[in-house]
Amino acid sequence: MSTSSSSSKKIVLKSADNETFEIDEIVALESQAIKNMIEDECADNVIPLGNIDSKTLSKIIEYCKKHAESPKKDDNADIDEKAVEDLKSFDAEFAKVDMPLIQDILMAANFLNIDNLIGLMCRTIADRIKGKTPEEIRKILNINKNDLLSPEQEAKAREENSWAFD
Amino acid sequence: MACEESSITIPQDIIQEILYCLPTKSAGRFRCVSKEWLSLLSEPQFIKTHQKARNRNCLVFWSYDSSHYSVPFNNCKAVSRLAKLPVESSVNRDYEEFLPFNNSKAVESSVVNRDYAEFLGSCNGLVLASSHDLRQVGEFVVVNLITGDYVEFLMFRHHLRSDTWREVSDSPFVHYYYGAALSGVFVNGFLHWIASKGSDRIPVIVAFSLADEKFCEVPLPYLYNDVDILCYTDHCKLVALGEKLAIYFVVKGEVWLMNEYGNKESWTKIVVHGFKEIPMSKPEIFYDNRKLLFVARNIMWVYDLEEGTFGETADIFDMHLWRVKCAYVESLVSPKVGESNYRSSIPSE
Repeated sequence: MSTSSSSSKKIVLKSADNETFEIDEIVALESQAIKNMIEDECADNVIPLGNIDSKTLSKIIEYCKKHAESPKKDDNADIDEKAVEDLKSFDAEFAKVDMPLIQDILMAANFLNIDNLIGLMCRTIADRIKGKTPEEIRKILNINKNDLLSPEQEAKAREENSWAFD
Repeated sequence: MACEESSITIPQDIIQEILYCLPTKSAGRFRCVSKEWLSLLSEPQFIKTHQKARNRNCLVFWSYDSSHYSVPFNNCKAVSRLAKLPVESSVNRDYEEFLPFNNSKAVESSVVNRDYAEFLGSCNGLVLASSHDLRQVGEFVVVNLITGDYVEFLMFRHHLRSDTWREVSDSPFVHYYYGAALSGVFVNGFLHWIASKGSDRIPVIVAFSLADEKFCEVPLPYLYNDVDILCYTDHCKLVALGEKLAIYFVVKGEVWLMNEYGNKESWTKIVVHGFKEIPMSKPEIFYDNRKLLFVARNIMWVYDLEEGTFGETADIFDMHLWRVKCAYVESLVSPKVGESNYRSSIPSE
């Protein structure tokens, strides 16, 4: 299966800071973008990822390994509940990183087209920003100053959504 | 975490994915973040997708303290108190125009006596509500229980005058139920009732289109000998389960579900195994995520449709909740969109 055996095909990923990561092809296939490259046979042995640093890339590989090893839902309807729980707690642990790294993982997952990981990062950010005030959101998410509502518009929006402020 | 406050920059298309994951209240509050967020969080398409992604169904309970409480299906501990409904607080409302014979004394009394809210149905995040007094004059509200936003409208006033369903001029069916059965079940843009037709009073399901205000008939399942039971409100009632129309045999614990709206062949029968073990009679029925929920007083029995068994029993006793009134799904949706579609004129009888 996916656990490393010398016979399984290997893919090498190279990060922006020129670190190389050799992984099983099946792990790399978690990324739809890499999958497409392999299928179109335009992937050499080494795939350069010029916009992903090694810290982020190693996290991404950690995630893809775990998910590639876990039985997929559509493989088997009677998928054992323990495996689902196990993956859930892995995801929860995985997401316990600081916001800048979450941003890097999210952007990389978006580039590599790893749907599950994009979803996990979006849920994580939503979890961390929920319950905050609009002022805090503007700061955390670097909202462009030119896009702010005028004081009148903001007062109106606050009044119309007063139900959401108690 | 100290890094929690550090700033990050995320492109707009991914921001949208993040906003789908937010609780409804946060999403409402974040309309004040920026122009872009305000317009995105108000878009009907966003609201629809957000509602589906959240998929947070709640029960509404009436409590001993005369308030309504909302309880999420999947988290009985997260009880929250709902704001007063527009039909409950009668202050600052102009009833005069709605009342028959311009009876100002009746106006007085309905203003002074706070009326209890009745829930007549729920669909797409909105709830149809009225009260005993208001229903007499045919007044209803469509309200979003989360945002408190609502519209009032008038409906069926000529039917409601006597609070009894009679043969009405534009309905070829006989509507013969009282009280709770008066409220239609809203599915697929139609309100539904059980009625009868012909001289031998064959039971039928009648649908009333809110769009063109016409009556039509929905095909029944093959019920054979059970068909007569349809006439007994004690034994069976129409319900909406997961946006599908269903007939709930309250005593037998059977459910007929119309999987494809309007298709006779699509009715399927669900026998609820272990239904008789429920120690309360005639529990209310709800649907959530391939589960049937049976609620009586303040206890909920959860039936797994795939397993065909009852799982956990959820006890929501601690809040002095008394009685379940309706179910709804959390949404940012405004009842004011398409308001004109709901309005019907006062008949000039």
